[in-house]
Amino acid sequence: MRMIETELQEVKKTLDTIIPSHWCVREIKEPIINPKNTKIIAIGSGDDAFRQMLLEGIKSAQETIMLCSFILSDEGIIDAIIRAADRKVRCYLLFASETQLRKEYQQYRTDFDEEVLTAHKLMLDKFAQKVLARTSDHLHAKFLLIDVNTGNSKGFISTANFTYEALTRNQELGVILNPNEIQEAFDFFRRGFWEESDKELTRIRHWDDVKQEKIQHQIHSFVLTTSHKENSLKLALYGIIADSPGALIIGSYSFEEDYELLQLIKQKAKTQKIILLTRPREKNLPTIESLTTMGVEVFAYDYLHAKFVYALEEKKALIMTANFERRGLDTGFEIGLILEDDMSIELDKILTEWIKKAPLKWKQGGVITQFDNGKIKEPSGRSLNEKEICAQHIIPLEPLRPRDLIQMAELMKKQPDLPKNLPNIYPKKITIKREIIPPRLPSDAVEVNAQTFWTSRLSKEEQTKRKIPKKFPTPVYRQKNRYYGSVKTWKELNKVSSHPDLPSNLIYVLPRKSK
Amino acid sequence: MHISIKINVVVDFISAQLSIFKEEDRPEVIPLLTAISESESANTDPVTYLIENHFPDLPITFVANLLEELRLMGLVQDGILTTHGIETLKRKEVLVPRKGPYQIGIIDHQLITQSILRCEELKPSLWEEIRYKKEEEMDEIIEIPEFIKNDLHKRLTLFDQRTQTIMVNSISERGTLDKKMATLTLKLSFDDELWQLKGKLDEFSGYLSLHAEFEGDEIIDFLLSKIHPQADLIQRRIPQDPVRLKPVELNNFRKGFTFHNLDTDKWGEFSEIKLSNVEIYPESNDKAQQWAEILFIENLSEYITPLRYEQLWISLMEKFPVLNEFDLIVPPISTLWERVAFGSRKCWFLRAAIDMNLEEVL
Repeated sequence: MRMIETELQEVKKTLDTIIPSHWCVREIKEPIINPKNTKIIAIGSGDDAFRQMLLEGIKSAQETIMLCSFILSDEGIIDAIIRAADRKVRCYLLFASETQLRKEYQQYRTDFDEEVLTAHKLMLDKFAQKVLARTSDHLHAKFLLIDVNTGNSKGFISTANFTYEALTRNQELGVILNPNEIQEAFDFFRRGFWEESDKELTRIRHWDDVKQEKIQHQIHSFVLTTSHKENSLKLALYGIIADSPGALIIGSYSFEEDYELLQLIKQKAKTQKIILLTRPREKNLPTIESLTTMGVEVFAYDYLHAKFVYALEEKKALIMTANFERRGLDTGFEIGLILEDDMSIELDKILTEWIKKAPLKWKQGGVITQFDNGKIKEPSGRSLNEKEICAQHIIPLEPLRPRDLIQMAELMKKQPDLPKNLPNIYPKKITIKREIIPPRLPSDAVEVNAQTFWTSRLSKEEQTKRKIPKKFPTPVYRQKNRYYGSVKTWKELNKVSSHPDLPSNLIYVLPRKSK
Repeated sequence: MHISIKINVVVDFISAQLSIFKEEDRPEVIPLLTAISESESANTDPVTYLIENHFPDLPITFVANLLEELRLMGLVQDGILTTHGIETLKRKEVLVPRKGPYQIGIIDHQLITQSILRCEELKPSLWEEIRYKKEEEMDEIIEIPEFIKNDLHKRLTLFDQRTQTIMVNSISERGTLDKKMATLTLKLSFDDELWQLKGKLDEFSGYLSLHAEFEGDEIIDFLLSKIHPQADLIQRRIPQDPVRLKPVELNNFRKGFTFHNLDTDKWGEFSEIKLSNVEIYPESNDKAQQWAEILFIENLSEYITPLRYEQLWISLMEKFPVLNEFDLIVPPISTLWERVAFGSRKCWFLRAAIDMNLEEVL
């Protein structure tokens, strides 16, 4: 005979949820180890070797410093430039205009925040009447030249802006220039200064319009550029991608989906292996989605900002300051460098490490069963929601405490519903557990005598018509104005429920627990 | 060149009874005298002549009144012009006889001839007050300046807001004499052929035209020599070191100089002399070169390319003929670097084009 006791319900189901496209979080425990290169320096993950090179270069300057950056707010670099100016080093600086910086911050929510913008403005206050600074909306290249035209010249191209975060945290690339490259970069700086700037800092917080001069230029063999007058950078990029017969690794902070270059990449993806390194930005999603469908593997870092293309078979690389967008390749002020053979192998080492330890990899959406278990990040507007794909998820529901055993029997027939939405989880199987706890007799209920009960309930006439039972079929108790019937088994309940000798509206419960 | 001289002067204010002829603005008098003279020539009665020729619609009494007024002024007697009237017609100055208490102010300084500053009629009530005071306390015999006593019946020019003439007929020797100190500012200008001496006394508004006792440019030479022992007295200019000059002085080759409390043997003591707009020039060839370089930097307003530099230098020097008297060379741009503050706009104008190879497209 089955005793009535706490019932445990368990529902198990295998789910065929469709998971949307997402970033798979790769649990990489080993830190990134940046290779010790001589030409291409990896930046990021706290490694500030390149930043130190820039600082050393500025500190060693004796004649001139020429710096171009979209934004400058690194305190160490700013102080080093001011000290250089104090020892009469002529410092020439090019930046994007404040309007453009603010637009970038508000519209694109780029790398830097309000604090960095403020630091940039304070920097300009410190620089007034110590350095010569010019701006234009489209200046975006990042490079530094020291003591050009002397025997002590140094030069660097950086994909990072000259902010502390970019030079230490972001995944970026720095390139150390040789003398020929320095000369060509210098020629480009001249163009930026004389031909493409439109405002000059003449005194503190005062920008005057400048007259643009036409100057003579040299032909570049090493340095590639985008400016008002040329876009050798775009042509070179096209060339590398189009001519490469083998695998390509492409990296960019930003992609423009409908840009012609992307169409070329998609074309190549049909027949060649392409790996993409990028940042998990909303703006990049259309490109990531479309490339993934073509078999491109896409990896991401939260703070990747480097821009490059590397053709593995040909050992040819291009590192640049432009993103894969019209703004930067068709128009703008950008710089890049082609590296071949031994030099490109340095990039190979960096990228191998970056791909191996990339924290995120893009997965196209599909049925849950095709994905491994683990953490994922799901794009949601500008942010990423962290979720997890798991083998099983157990949901313990709150125990049910029915008022009486009849209700309990009804509840036992019903399976608990599967939740419609599980926050932050995609389980492959789900188990729902629930207890149904049977009601017991209240402690202060007192037993009722059947005869007394019925005698008080029935009229004399009714008493004559029906027989007053001497006792109830099952003990009956009373608490206040409620009557309880005590049963122990389901069989007993079936037998006595609705018995005419029992009061109607009897609440069927288990007996009190024995002490 | 302008010279501004400040001298402390004593002004004597004499209040006395005067009988004077004082110039007054009476525009009707000269035409009337002319008409009377014509009537004399025409041997006609002046009343008739005036009525027939000038006042045909007016009654005879009107003309008679006019003639009477002229008689009271001493210009006409018995229908014909007096000596005074003839003189008035000749000079076109109307001097009206007045007798009464006047106050005259007199400046006496060796630089300026004795001048009557002003001659103002004292109000009767004021005179009465003075007379009563004199009767009670100040029965003073005043010393009338000789030049006035000697110049009785002569025309004297007043130096007031407008030039006026008086003739002193008589002057009583009793009155009051007050002496006041004032500062007279005199301005000399060499812009005209004859230089003018104009003065302004701080008690009075407007300018005074004054005679100067001394002639020629002796005071100018004296002052220029005081400024610099090698002053060029022929061209009236001073040699200067350009590093001590302000930009406007460098550009204009003009400078002002001020002397305080300068005692001259010949012209007395001046509390202040200012020479404005004195021409200056470099004191040596080296200084001229320095001057030119400073001027070049001062006038620099654009980035200098090596190509443009020499042209700019030459065209700038053409604007300063004084510098062309010297042998100047076009200095290397590096020389100019030393003259400018690092980080200043001029510094960048000189350096940036060189550092960043600003050579224009030919």
